[in-house]
Amino acid sequence: MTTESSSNNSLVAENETLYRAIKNDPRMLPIDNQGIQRISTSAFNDAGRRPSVDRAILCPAGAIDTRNRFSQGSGVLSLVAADVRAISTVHGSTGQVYGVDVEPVPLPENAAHAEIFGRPPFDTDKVFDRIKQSLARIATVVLPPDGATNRE
Amino acid sequence: MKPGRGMLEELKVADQKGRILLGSRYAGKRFALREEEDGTTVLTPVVVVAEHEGLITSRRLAECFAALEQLFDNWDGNGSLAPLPGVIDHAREAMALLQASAMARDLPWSDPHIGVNERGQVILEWWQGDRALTLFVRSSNQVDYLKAWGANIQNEMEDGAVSQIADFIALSHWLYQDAEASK
Repeated sequence: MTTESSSNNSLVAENETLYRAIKNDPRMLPIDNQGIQRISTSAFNDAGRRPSVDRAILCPAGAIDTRNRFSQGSGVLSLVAADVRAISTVHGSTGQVYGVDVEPVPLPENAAHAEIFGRPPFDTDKVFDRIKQSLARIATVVLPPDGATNRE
Repeated sequence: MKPGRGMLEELKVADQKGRILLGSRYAGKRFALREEEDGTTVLTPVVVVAEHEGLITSRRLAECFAALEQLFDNWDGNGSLAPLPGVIDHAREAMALLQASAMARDLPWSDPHIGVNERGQVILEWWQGDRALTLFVRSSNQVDYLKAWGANIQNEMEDGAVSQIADFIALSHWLYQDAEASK
């Protein structure tokens, strides 16, 4: 959490921390066969291919705010905006370059809400699969879901 | 040795210590040896599975996928669809086939993490060090893969279709390359 001020609609700065809530579900943070906790790509599922995040700068209580807004016992992942924007890809058959960005999308009940999106929008499963794989790799767990350490 | 019906018969002679040379393609294979009442001996190639690796049984496979059958639309709070029963069935069959294929070739096998994406497609995820292999069971006739060895989407990932067992075997070799090299 930071005390730096920011309006709800201001551009997301490169050094901003983003929180991603994940359901308290063993599918999100599985343990691999070597005992290492992994972040599943399922943690970035989004029906609209625009995964929601919260801007830490607008979360007075930090990641706890994101957890409390999402669901009881849920976990929270953390990303840095610059790392998200560093993701880009080229569509294999069309040559289309996809950029990844994050923009504020404040909601009446959540001023910190923002969304990760593609320029142009991620229009195929395969492109979004890669984006989610990358997001899962650059994210870290800041609040594990309740009971996550005892799973599997 | 007694060849089965319709099989090519080849005579092998045991040396003074009872050893039989079968050729390099049998190297490392295990055989069950059974002596018949008529004096013939039958050698049957077998796959020996360590107990901790588990066995492919319909019950065990059903247990692995049972949780998916309980999912409902928006199960993750992000609008993801529940998987269709047909897709779960196909994923179950695919996993059994892949495990059997790996074991028959003496390749490493570990149960994948079984998940679901936003479209209700079943995903099978494996990790080995920095390497991640994800299979996407999108429908009864489409299984895709994504190999990743870093976060760079252009230079550290590769995707494609898994249409033959050989495709998965190649992916498995890639995933466990370091482990195989240290054998």
